[in-house]
Amino acid sequence: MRIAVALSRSWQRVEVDPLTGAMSGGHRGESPAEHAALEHALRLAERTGGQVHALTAGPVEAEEGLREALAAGAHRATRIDVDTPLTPDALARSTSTAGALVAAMPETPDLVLCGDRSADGGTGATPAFLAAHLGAAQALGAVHLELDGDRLLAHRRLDGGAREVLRLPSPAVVSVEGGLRLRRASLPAVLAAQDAQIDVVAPPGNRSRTDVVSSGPRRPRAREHPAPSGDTAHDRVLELTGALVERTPPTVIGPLSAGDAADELLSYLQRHGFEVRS
Amino acid sequence: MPEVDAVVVGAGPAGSAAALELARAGRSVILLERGPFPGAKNVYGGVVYGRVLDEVLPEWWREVPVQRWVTRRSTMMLTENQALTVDFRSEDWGSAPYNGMTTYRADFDSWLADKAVAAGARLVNSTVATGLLRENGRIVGVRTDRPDGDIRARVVIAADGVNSFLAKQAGLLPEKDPEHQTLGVKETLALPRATIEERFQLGGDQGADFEILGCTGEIPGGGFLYTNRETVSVGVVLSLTGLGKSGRRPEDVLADLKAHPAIAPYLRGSELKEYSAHLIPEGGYRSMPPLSTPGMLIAGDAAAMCLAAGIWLEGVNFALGSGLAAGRTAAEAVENGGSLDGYKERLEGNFVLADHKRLQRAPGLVLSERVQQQYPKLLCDFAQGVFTVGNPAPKPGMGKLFRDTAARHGVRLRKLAADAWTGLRTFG
Amino acid sequence: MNALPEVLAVVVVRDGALPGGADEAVAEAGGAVLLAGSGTGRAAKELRTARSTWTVDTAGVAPGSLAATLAASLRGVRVVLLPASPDGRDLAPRLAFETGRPLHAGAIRCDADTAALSRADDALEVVVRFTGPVVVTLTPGVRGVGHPLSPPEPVALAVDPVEVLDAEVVEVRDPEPETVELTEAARIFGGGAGLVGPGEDGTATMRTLTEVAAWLGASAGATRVVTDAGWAGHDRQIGTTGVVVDPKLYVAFGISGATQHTGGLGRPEHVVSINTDPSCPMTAMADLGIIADAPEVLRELDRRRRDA
Ligand SMILES: Cc1cc2nc3c(=O)[nH]c(=O)nc-3n(C[C@H](O)[C@H](O)[C@H](O)COP(=O)(O)OP(=O)(O)OC[C@H]3O[C@@H](n4cnc5c(N)ncnc54)[C@H](O)[C@@H]3O)c2cc1C
Ligand SMILES: Cc1cc2nc3c(=O)[nH]c(=O)nc-3n(C[C@H](O)[C@H](O)[C@H](O)COP(=O)(O)OP(=O)(O)OC[C@H]3O[C@@H](n4cnc5c(N)ncnc54)[C@H](O)[C@@H]3O)c2cc1C
Ligand SMILES: Nc1ncnc2c1ncn2[C@@H]1O[C@H](COP(=O)(O)O)[C@@H](O)[C@H]1O
Repeated sequence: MRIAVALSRSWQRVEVDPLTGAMSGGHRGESPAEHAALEHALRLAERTGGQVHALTAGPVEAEEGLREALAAGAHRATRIDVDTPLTPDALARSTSTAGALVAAMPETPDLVLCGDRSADGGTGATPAFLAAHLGAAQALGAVHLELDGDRLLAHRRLDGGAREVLRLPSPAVVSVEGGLRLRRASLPAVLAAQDAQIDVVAPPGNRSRTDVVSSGPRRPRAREHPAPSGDTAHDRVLELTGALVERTPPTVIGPLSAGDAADELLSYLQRHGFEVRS
Repeated sequence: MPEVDAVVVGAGPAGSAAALELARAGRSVILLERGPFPGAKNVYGGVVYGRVLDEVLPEWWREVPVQRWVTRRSTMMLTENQALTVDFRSEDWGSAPYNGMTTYRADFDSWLADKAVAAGARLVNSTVATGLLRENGRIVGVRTDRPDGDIRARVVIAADGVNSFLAKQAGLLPEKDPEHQTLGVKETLALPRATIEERFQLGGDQGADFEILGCTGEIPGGGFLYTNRETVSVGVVLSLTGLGKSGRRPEDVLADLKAHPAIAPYLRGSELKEYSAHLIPEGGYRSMPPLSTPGMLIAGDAAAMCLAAGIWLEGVNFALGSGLAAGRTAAEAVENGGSLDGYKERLEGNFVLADHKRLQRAPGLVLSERVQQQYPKLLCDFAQGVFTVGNPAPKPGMGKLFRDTAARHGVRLRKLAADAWTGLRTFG
Repeated sequence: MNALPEVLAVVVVRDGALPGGADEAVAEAGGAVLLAGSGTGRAAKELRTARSTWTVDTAGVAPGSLAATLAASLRGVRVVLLPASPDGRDLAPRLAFETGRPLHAGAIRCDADTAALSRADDALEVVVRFTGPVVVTLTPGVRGVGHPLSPPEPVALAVDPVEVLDAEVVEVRDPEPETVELTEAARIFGGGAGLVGPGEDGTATMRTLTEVAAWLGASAGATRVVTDAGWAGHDRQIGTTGVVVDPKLYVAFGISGATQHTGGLGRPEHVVSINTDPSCPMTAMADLGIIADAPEVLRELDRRRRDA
């Protein structure tokens, strides 16, 4: 199986000044999901006798992630030379990365593995764009992968906690949630990866620009609520303020032992109709 | 198994400096770091006295990741409700070649390690040295926690920080040594840049460095308050034994300092970004361990080359100095097959041990009951006496006021003179 | 009335069920919605914010084929707005690619000309102006909906089904209580920094919390301290920069009650706080404050769960 893994070395723990909206990034790194994607790729390659090609679109610093991938067992690494500064413009993007990644693939792989979102608070759209570019099937947000014969099954979350099990054709793009830990590379492999070759390619020229009007700290939006339905103004005010909803008077008890605390909690739940489900 | 001329454990200031020297001398060197990148988790107060960086890079100040250049140093003596400050500022420190700077460890350590890598050292992150390899009583390498993780080296430099695991394994450090360790705790607090500059009376990229005595209650120690660009760090350094005896929690001691009427106005409205704690070797010439054993050198905090006593908090500069010396010694030893014995001499010859020798009485003096408890109270009361306008009572004579104040605090003038003499000899 | 409006919500329907955030997306689009998928007629009756509804019934909801099928009909629509539910996030990029438009994903507000996108883990709001037709996804839970409207009669839209390569659905499994998306959970047990003792394996603790919660019919959520430490997935983080929830019952284990956390709690009827600090904000806002060691209490509950 020819497997490509997309790693985005992006900003971790971005802080936004609550007054000015100025951003400061900690350090760059892959998201846990991308490490999981890489580990899945390595395992699948081992089981199917395949090759793993790690790709990233980013500045020189991003090569560190590729070297980690090589040390862990990836066979080949490519960096698409684009800048990913910590600016509202760059964060608003989502469309162009996939095109650049696809252009850097020497042939259409059987499987592309991605993280379900990049660490700078990405939206997880890149994998779907990859699928669109490649004409591939997609499975986004997989929580579990398994081989069924020579076909890959992906389990993913749907709304309300339902799970969908998908059987993937080739080519396919799968994005995975974090969870699976990346193996620890041996010391000789780490050293070898420091000298390994990384292909650097220029991005395709047509990068789309986003028209950013403004950016600032996020403020939660006021949520709409149904207008109160009471007949009189008085009723409506009561309804809006919840003044007549029955509430238990607040109580604080303790310090309690663990046993007593558990008793208190369970009996409170029972009193208010939150039964234990058997 | 990889074989190299030298393996350096720990990419703090000491380790990166050592690796840099080795690489510059054309030696093959592996630099191991436990964190995901150098400085990732390293804790310190915030000020680096960087003169020694002249040996690393000419005009280092042009590219070092600085927060602020220290142009104002204040020493404060506090009692519960008084404060006496000696405030010094110098515009000279605000321009090249600069004196001290505040910088974040994540930035500074990464910067320095990058220099070593650029010179040819191989940095391996996320890798812990877990033991020493020996042959015929000589140390010949280290074991790491990676698969196939042994490395053979002609010299091992342990720069793994306070409580050095490797130095202990090599028998250079005792297993436990609480008397010679202090605990540093610090908070990083966010404030708008303009607010910091206004409150600390600083311009552009100028910074302030406050050392504080008498703020740690009955526990021997001291405090500090440093400015970064958009944060300040405030912390206390506490004797471990004193802390144990007091039964207090370090964060409470720090909370008291932050609430002190002379400190609180600087911090008002700030937002806590980070709380951290770390051991510090109290250091001093007298408690320094043997610095080498066949096949291995120790540098920086691992060798207790730190000065942490009350108002002093200098370690990075000594770590850099000893790291450079260790690297040089190791490079020479590898080249002419010689021994590592020249290391100590080399340190004696430069500021590292010269300073420690000169300041060897400093920790004892600064952490003494008198300096910790009596003098701040004495001096504050004296100052209060001088400045209190007691009309219609006539002003007392200074000499009498001082004698009276001293007597009230049970301070014998002879003892005071002796301490002053020690102080002069130590710092003069 | 086959002419679709300038701003249109597109909602993927599975077996007549609407995804989370459907009504909000429709309201944001001014009440115009295209329902696509299976059982769209039934789903149309469930909408509370629609003023005009179109439907396209398709055999499956595979995103590649669905996008190819819908593309032609959407040509005249300037703003295509989808809820950022799993199916919406699947379809939106494919639609954008198929129709050659940019995608603005993760919006918290959208009108005919601009969208406010939430970025940097919800700390940053970036407003973008549309320079042409766009596809936008709206994060569920950010908007709320006003007074319910009675659903209009849906108009079936004729399309030519197009098939492209898609994954084959093997099965869809029913939700298990502990994985029910937090936004929909009526009972939530939250874990904070105080639930994990020093040196303990926080991941194991959160797993236990999830099990105990499931036993009591609840889902497990967490504070940012917990998700940042990697002890729970980020989808478990409740708060202004995490998931905004609206449970009836919230039980907080070792949570201080920072505003960024409680800001995402909705208005639970019942709040229980288990904390060693009787004066922390979480306990102050609780109906029942239990002063106890949260890790111990959790272990005790877990023992009872096993015995039950
Ligand atoms: C609260 C506080 C405030 C301080 N304030 C100041 C100040 O303002 N100015 C100043 O100059 N000094 C200050 N110091 C002292 C200063 O931090 C130290 O003296 C200095 O960091 C010593 O440098 P080092 O390189 O020897 O050790 P460290 O900086 O401790 O570096 C050791 C490195 O080794 C790594 N390591 C450890 N064990 C292993 C292993 N087994 N395998 C691989 N890697 C390992 C660590 O991750 C670390 O990166 C302060 C200290 C504290 C705690
Ligand atoms: C811009 C921004 C956005 C943020 N967004 C979010 C967000 O969306 N969601 C979020 O949750 N946070 C968010 N935070 C972080 C938030 O400010 C708080 O830091 C966080 O919610 C605190 O989590 P906590 O209650 O788990 O930890 P802490 O505040 O550390 O509280 C731990 C609590 O546990 C108690 N405790 C300790 N030991 C025990 C014990 N043994 N038994 C019982 N109780 C014990 C303590 O008394 C304390 O009340 C945000 C912060 C910022 C700056
Ligand atoms: N610049 C990039 N380089 C390589 N892969 C990327 C890049 N950006 C996103 N990806 C992949 O797409 C996934 C989702 O990213 P995002 O759409 O940014 O949330 C990531 O986890 C990566 O696997």
